[in-house]
Amino acid sequence: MRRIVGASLLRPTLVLVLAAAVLVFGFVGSGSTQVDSLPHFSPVVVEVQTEALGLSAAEVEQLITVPLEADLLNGVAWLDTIRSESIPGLSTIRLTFEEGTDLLEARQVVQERLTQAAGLPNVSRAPSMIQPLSSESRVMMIGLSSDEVSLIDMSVLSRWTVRPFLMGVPGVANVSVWGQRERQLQVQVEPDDLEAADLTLLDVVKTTGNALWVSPLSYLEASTPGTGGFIDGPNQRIGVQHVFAIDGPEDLAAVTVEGADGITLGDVTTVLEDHQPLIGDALVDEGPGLLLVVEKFPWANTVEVTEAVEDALVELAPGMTGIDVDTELFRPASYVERSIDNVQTTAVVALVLAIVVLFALFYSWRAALISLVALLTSLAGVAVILNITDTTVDLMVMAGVLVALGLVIDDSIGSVAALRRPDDDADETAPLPFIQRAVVSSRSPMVYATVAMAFAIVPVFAMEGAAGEFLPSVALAMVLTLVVSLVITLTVVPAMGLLLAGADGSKLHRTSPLLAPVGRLYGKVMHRWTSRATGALIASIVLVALAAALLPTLDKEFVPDFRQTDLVVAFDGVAGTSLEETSRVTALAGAELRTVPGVEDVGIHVGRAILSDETVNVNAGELWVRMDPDADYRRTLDSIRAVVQGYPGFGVPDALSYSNERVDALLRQRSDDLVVRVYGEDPVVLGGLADEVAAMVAGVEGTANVRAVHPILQPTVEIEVDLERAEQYQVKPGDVRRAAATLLSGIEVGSFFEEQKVFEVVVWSPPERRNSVTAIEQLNIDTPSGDVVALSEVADVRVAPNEQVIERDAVSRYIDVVADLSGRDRDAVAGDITDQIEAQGLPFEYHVRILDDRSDAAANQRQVIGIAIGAAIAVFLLLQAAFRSWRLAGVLLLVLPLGLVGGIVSLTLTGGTYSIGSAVGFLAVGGLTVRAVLALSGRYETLQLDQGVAFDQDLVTKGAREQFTPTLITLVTVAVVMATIVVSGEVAGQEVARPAAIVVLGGLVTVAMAALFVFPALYGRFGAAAQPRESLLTTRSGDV
Amino acid sequence: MKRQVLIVLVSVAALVPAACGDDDSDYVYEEPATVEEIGADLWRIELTEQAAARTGVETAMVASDTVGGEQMLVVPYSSVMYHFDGSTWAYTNPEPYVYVRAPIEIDHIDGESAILSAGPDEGTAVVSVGAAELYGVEFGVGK
Repeated sequence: MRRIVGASLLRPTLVLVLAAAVLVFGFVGSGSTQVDSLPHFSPVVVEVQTEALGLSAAEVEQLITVPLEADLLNGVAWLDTIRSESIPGLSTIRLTFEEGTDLLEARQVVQERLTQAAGLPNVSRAPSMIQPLSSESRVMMIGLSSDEVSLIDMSVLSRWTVRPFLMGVPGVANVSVWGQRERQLQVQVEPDDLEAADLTLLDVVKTTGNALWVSPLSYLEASTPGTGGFIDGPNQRIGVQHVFAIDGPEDLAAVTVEGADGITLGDVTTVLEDHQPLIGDALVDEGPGLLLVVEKFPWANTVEVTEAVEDALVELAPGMTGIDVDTELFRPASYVERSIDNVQTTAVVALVLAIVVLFALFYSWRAALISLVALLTSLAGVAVILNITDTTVDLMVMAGVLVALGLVIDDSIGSVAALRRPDDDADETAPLPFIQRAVVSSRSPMVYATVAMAFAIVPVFAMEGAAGEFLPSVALAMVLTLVVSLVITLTVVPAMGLLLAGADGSKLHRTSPLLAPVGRLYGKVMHRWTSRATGALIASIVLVALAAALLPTLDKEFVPDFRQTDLVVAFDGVAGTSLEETSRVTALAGAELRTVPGVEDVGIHVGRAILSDETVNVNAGELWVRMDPDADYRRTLDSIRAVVQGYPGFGVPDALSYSNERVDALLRQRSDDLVVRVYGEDPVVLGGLADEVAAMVAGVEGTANVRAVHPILQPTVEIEVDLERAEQYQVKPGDVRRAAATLLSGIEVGSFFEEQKVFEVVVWSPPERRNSVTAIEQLNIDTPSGDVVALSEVADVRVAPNEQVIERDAVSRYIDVVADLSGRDRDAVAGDITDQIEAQGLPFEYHVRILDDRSDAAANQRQVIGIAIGAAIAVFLLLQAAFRSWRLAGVLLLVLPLGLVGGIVSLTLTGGTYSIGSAVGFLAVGGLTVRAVLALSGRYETLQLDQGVAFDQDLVTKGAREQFTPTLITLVTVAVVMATIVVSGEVAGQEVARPAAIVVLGGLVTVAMAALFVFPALYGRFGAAAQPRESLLTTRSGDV
Repeated sequence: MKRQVLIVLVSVAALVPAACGDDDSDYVYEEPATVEEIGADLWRIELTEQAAARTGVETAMVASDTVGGEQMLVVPYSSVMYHFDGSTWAYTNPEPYVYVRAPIEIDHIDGESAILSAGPDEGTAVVSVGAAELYGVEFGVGK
């Protein structure tokens, strides 16, 4: 350290030039820093979705999910859990990988297995691996609506033009489109006409398929379209191309049916243009429309991607006449931009106030200048490092820097204060060696303080849940700032001090008229107070005990409510509700929300979309509400809640900002204490077994509120062919299925081409022939003899329960039995349950697992506390090394909680909610306490060893009096900066910083008490005369 | 004495800016609907006036018609709710904003009408718009 300071003193101008460069680069570069709201906080997940429109949940599970899971995806390397959801029409398999797995490697191993998926039955599309998405994946929502253009035409435009174009924007991972209506040519079979013409369904399918160029049905000739070929003449080779003759429904309707005499398709069917059955829909601007949801990669930046997408849309705009494009529907980039604005404003105001305070209290413009430059250069240095490492600055990093700011202020003021030498100082050393010794002796304690801080944050890396995802960013940002600050105070401060201190080195020392009387008062008080050590000790212990009593009263809401003006409200209706009904009610809710003052717009999507982030059926919808940023946030939020919670039949929906909704969804801790998972395949047996296990768990001592979580059921029509009756007509079960599938679900028989686009041609039935149980019963089944028989004649049609969602874990269905713990320890209860299950036995192929401690918050808490205790011991040992005295180290460990007391009080007074911000604030207060005390101890040692002052009450008073000025200036400057943050209010960007500032502000009071009064008294009582051997806190003429 | 005064002043000064600028929510959730058991598998749902208006609940009368030579009850198809076990129900509206689920037996569905072989008496009001929401209130909504 001596060498660094010495080197800086020998080349002060060089150091200053470098400092200036850092300042410039820091502030200029901050313009191009990437800013986002939250760091990436989801685990490494690969999701595989397979679309199978028309299949029920049970069929999806049976035909798609089970084969994919068992044969293909289980046994993938680094896999942690494999979970799946099978809902009507969709299979979603989520593979979660072990912590630390590289995302791209994980995707690679999954992709290798997926290529073997050709073995799936031909009822679904191919499985697709969802793109890697960031935790807050939705970066933008774009609404398309029009009075002139039809929904189908808009869908065509969006599918063939807009979506591909947007997917090409850098950073865009996926664009899912709600309300997409695929343009189809539909041949709707009229059963009466068909019967009258003595034709079968198969005739229609064959005719339609073979009328086209290409068909996916392998039994049609059109499945081999053949090529056009070319003619080879003597001079020229000329290619041959067939031009598609069918332009629309009328052309197709004119085709003669195969095997019939003069009967066209149009005679027995209705041919028209329509769209596929919808899995979801969107409501934009109070009417149906399209909603494009843009999602980004984990490494993409929200603001950049948003601007790029907006530019892309501007480019497309001329080709989208008649369509209203709304890009403001959901735009989290606006929140990020507002946050940046707010933080910049607060920073500027705080800086101005800090300058005023520094000049007023140092009263020497030189000293104030050095201090200011040190502070700004440290911040600029941090900015440069963040820029170089391409780190995204998010709320957590900003909070970390803010916390460290208080300590950086302490660094800069403390190091300048060490340079001040009064006019009447009789010391004859020249400025350079004096500065060197002063800086080193004042900064060595700070090295210990910084290392102690580093130890203190170690427990943070072991935490789980929201704390574990966010605090490490904060901690690392803090340590980075502290290290940079240390470097600056060892280089820039001495250099500037040398240049500005003047020939006799005294120009830095001025006494501020504001501080002089306070200092004298303090001196007098200290003189009387130093003998009251025991009283101080008792008073401190009482205060700490009182504060500790306040701790349990605090609410713990770790993640703050982000002040975002984009809110999402989830409307989940009862299982089985139709798309029409869910759309109707959400439309009414949306219309009402638009009348709430403060609400600017509402966009709604119901159900899901292809390759989207929602695995839901049409009974669920989401309303996206955009608030006016200038409106009263709290009141508008309350009004929105009052509206959406007034709709019966949808539970109690809450209006959450998107970030909060994502944190909830991804990091939600289990609320039940104990979960016993029962695995098995047969739903009936599994249900019964779960009830048995629940009864057994309820019988175990120490459990309460035991219940088995059975899957939610919804009505499903079951068609079961009666073989005997079917035999009478010579109808096979497969015939019934295929006929019913064609008439109820539609079957794609080919494609037609227009303008480089491909559209489906589908054979189906008219809507009125497939909208009720009666309609199903009356479906016509063709028999080999040429007759037609109603479906109900050959099959049983009934409504029976089926699961709404089939969830699987570890390649098996399961039912959870959940319970709360009361009275007994978790391990004891788990042991009892395991014993009883072993004794009772389970049916073949069924097993039970008690979900392990990783999802148990209490166990993690124990682990973290253990590590924290270890860290505390490490800090204690470090302090002992610093003080060279066990007693003093013990004293500091007592004084430290005292410093935190003020923070606890201010936290309780302002609502008592403990959040990430509060934790960060406490870290800062702890750091300030340790530094103030170490600085004071350093001064005591210097006085004894360098100036030969004897160890007695006078020493205590003198040392405290000398240290009073820098300590007070630090406290006031920090107070001013924190107060600026607090006064600027609960605004965007300061959700973590403001609670931290509140805690620091309250803590400053008790830090002052501890550093100015309690510690000196205790030092006098418990300290001992400093040993003249080489102490680590001061330097002598030897090397350090 | 002076020191104590100083400490108190400083504490107050530090905490005042923290205390102001906080807005607390005074929103209280009011249930839009209540469910009460009034008999064996007989439940009574009561909506607040506002909840009913919001959901747009509408009712229609049970009619009687000759279908295939027999006298049958007729209700709108939109008042039919299938329970997952296959039983069929409609919501009657005995008092304003009060709804009670009543069993029905469907003979067949014809377009927009459901022809019943058993059900509430002719002239009873049944819910024709909003039945799914009432069902959600009664049976609870999961995920």
